[in-house]
Amino acid sequence: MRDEEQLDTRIRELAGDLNTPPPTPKGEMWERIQAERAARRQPAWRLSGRVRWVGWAVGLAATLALGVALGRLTMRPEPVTPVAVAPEAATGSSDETTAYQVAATEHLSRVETFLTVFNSEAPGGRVRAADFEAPARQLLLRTRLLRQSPVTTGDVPLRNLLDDVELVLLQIATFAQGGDERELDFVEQGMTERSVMLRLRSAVPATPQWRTAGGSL
Amino acid sequence: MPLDPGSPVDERTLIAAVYAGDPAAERELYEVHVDRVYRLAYRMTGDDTLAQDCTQDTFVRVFDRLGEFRGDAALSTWIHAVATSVILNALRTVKRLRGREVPEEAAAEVGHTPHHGEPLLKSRLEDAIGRLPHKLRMVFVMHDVEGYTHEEIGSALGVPVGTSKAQLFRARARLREALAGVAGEWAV
Repeated sequence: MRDEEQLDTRIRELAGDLNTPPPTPKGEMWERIQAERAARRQPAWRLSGRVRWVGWAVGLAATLALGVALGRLTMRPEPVTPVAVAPEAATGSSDETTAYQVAATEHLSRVETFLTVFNSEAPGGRVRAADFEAPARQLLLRTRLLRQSPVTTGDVPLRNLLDDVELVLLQIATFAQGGDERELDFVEQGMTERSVMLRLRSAVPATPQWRTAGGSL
Repeated sequence: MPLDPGSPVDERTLIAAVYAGDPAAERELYEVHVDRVYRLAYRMTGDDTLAQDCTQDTFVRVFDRLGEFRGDAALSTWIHAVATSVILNALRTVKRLRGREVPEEAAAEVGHTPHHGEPLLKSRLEDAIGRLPHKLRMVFVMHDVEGYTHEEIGSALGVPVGTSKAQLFRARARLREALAGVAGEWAV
């Protein structure tokens, strides 16, 4: 028994020398706490855990419903015939389609740049996670607008890519808003499983007609 | 006259001021408690960045949820309940990430820096502490290293005092067992 007590005493002494904390960096941490709290106060829809995912699901469903509704409204009510219709004819004039495609290419290029920077800087914490929130939300908004366009309805690969980009940007915005490493994992998993970067890179140069449309690009 | 946040009356005054949005009171509350939280986080994680993250997350939550503090226990106890939860979550996340990065048998070696020239005993002890289940490690570190009482530990972890004592007993037993092979060094 006495031996055990001696061992315990020695363990306590030695354990006190392990992981000895440096002086507390009070000032640095206080600044980050204040910044985090300020950032949290801004978004009105701050939710947590499962509720946040429900919120996303509802938002996504609403966006999809709006897209479908817009698509139906803009399509002419023609009688259904078994004739194959080119997507361009069904979704708008050639000029509108070209303008949309130019905008989509430009947007996807920005998303690719943003995700490249995020992939290289976020995991090591070289850039504060909170700094990614504003650009992620801007890109998210634009992604949704493009996704809602009736032109997207006729372009399945683009539509699928925009869906996946939307999910990844949502995850980044959540991570940047104060999420933990788990959410960073979700982002990485989402990008890997859906080959988002690969598809983005191939989508941008794979549409030369978008870039050369009108001869001015 | 400056407040003495340790006293119940001043603690209530301080909390009321923080709740009313007084920035100076917020800073004072932080200054009073941040050292112990950071020390515990550092002792548990052994990583400055992770310890800072845990500390920051703890205080962000504390300020967010101060309205939930009922005053049944001391404010420091409540803050430590938040802190221990944050730290244990962080350790779980790190463990999961490391488990994915390296094979199972090598996972235990991750994060362990060899201590050249250091007595074998100390190195073994560090390994053994690192291998303790997180909650046992938390109780051991809080009690035997940072000097918390069983009452404080029980309140922070949400367990009865007897459970805290039992977990400390188990943690010490595991450490003794792990160090049995190098018992000769005890004489040092």
